[in-house]
Amino acid sequence: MKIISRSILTIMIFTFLTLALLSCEGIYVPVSVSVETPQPLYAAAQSTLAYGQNQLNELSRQSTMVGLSIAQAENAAEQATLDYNQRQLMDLAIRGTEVSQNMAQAAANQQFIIEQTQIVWNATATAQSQAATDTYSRYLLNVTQTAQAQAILSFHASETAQAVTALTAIPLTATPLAETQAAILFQQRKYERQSFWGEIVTPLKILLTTLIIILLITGGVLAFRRLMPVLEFRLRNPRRYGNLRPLYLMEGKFVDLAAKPNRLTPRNTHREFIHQPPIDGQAQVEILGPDDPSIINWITEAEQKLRANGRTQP
Amino acid sequence: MSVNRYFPAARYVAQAIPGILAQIGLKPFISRFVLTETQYGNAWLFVVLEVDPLIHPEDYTSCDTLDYLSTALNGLSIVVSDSYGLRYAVLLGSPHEILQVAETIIPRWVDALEGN
Repeated sequence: MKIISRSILTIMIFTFLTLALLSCEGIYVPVSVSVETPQPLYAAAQSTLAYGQNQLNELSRQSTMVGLSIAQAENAAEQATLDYNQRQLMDLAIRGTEVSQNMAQAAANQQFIIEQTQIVWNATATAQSQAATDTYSRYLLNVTQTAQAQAILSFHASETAQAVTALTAIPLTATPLAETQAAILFQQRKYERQSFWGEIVTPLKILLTTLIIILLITGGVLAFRRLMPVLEFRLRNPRRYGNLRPLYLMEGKFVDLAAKPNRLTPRNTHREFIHQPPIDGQAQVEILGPDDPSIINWITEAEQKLRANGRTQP
Repeated sequence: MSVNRYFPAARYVAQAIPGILAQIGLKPFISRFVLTETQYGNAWLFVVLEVDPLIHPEDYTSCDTLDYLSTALNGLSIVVSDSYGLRYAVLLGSPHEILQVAETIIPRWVDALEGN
């Protein structure tokens, strides 16, 4: 009997402890959720859980005390006390079960609140996104409508300008007087052009033609003068070496670069001036009169220098 | 009087000048000899030179050259005429020179006759 009651008591304690742990495991405490939760309900559930935990602890302690009383009663073999304690254990078990049920209900409430909060948050975000989308759509619509309005205004402005132009031009040509004036003005301008052409352009053409002819004649004369030495050279120097050699224009003179070197060597002009004694041994002396133009200056200069030297006096 | 009376003297000078120039190291670049007589009786022999500017013409016109020529030609007056060319003007004869000679020689004859 004693063993059976102790086993029952142990089983009940384990049951209570198991229920208490299960209820604690089911508790969900949102710490990092930033959404707003209904605080009063959540706080009520939290206090319910705390209260249930305290009650479980108290029941456990009372069960232990009852167990100790049972053991003492067994030792004292007091059957009445044992019965009383058994009934008290049954009552405590019932109350623990109720407390566990309350705690499970509070945890379920808390989870429900969290889920509802998440649903509300999602709904709010969706609503905000839809609102932003609607705003952007309205903005695009407004922009499109503005562009259309501007295009319409531009079109109206161009039409207005065309209308003004038409209204301005029509009176200028539509009336017979304006048409006559335009014809007169056209004739006047035509006469002016003809007059300008006859007074300036025609004499200018004649002058330019004359100038071109003069330039052509001058060019021909210059070319003839420039090429005349070549013709003369060719006439004086027939084809001695078979083919004609090219001539080069250097400093205004035609030069035959392919000629033999001895032809380009200048003569020694002093050789002929070196006094050579005549063959008969007599020097050649010219006799000229004092009035000869070639020696008048010589005589004058010589006599001036003779007087300057003081050797003779005229 | 005709200028022909100076012709022999002119020929003599014409033959002598090239040798005289050669004696002092100058090449005789002579192109012609011209004899003339002015209305005042001066007989000039012009010795026309053709000296290249690159051969130092100043050597032909220096006083030393003229003095050497005058001395070699028995004291004939020689001047340089260098306008429009280079020439020696040799005075072969002049009435003033005759007077100068007369003024020089006649006193000597008088002295000789007087026995000095």
